[in-house]
Amino acid sequence: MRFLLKLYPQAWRERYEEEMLAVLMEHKITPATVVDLLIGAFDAHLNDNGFAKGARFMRNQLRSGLVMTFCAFMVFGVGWGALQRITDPLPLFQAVNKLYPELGILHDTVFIVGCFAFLAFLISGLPIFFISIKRAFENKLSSQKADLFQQNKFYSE
Amino acid sequence: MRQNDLGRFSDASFLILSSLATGPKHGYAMMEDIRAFSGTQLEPGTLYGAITRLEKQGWIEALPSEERRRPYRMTDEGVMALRKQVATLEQVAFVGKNRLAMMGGN
Repeated sequence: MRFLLKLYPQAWRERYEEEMLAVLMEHKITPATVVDLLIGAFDAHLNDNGFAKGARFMRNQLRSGLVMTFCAFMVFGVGWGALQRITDPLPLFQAVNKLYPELGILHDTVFIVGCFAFLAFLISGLPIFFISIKRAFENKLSSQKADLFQQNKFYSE
Repeated sequence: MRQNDLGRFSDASFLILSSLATGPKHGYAMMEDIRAFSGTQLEPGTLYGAITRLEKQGWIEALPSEERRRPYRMTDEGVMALRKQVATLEQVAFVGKNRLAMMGGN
C-alpha cells in the first residue's frame, strides 16, 4: 500500500504517512480501500497549499507540470501518427468510408485536433526552447570568461 | 463554527469527534470504535482526510507517537463543536419524530 501513499503530497506524507501505514497494516484491504485512498490523494492535492511553501516549490511544481505536459504530448503524437496510417491502403479506406462515413469524419477530426495541438505545442514550446538555448549559451560564455580571468590572474601572479 | 470547511468529510468528522469523546485514540482504534457504535466502516483515506481537516480546524490535536501509531484527542473547541452538532441533530430528530407521528395520526 506504500506505493498508493506516494500519490499524496510530500508535506502530507511527512506528517501522516507512517501512522497511516500502521492503520493499513491492521485494516483489511479491499478494492474500496484502494479507491478511497486514490480519492484521498486527489483531495489532499486539491487542498495542498503550494503557495505557502514558497516560490521555489511552485517553480519546481510548474517545471514538473511542463515536463509532464511535454511527455503527454509526445505520447499523443505517437498515437496520432499511428492513426494516420489507417488510410492505408487508400482504396480500401475510401470503400469503408463510403459505407461508414462517420469513420472518415472521426479520422478528419483527429487529424485537425492533432494539427492544432502541434501548433499550440510549437507556439508555447519554441520560446522556452530558445530561452533555454540562449541561457545555455550565456552560461557557457560567462564560464569561459571566468576561466580566462582565473588564467590571467594565475599568470600575473 | 466552520462546518462548511469540512465538505464531504462532515459526517466522518462527526463520527471521529464522537469517538474521541471517550478519550484519545489512534487511527485504527477510531475506525474500530466508529464501526462498533455506528456500523459505519470508515476507510483509511476518508479517515485521514477528516483528521487532516479536524486538526486544521483545531478541533482535535495529535499526541506524541506510540511506536508508529499517533493518538489524537479532542480540544476544548472540538468539544464545543461536537455539542453544537449533537444539539442540531437532536433538533432534527425531534422535528422528524413529530412529523412522523403526525403522519401516523392521519
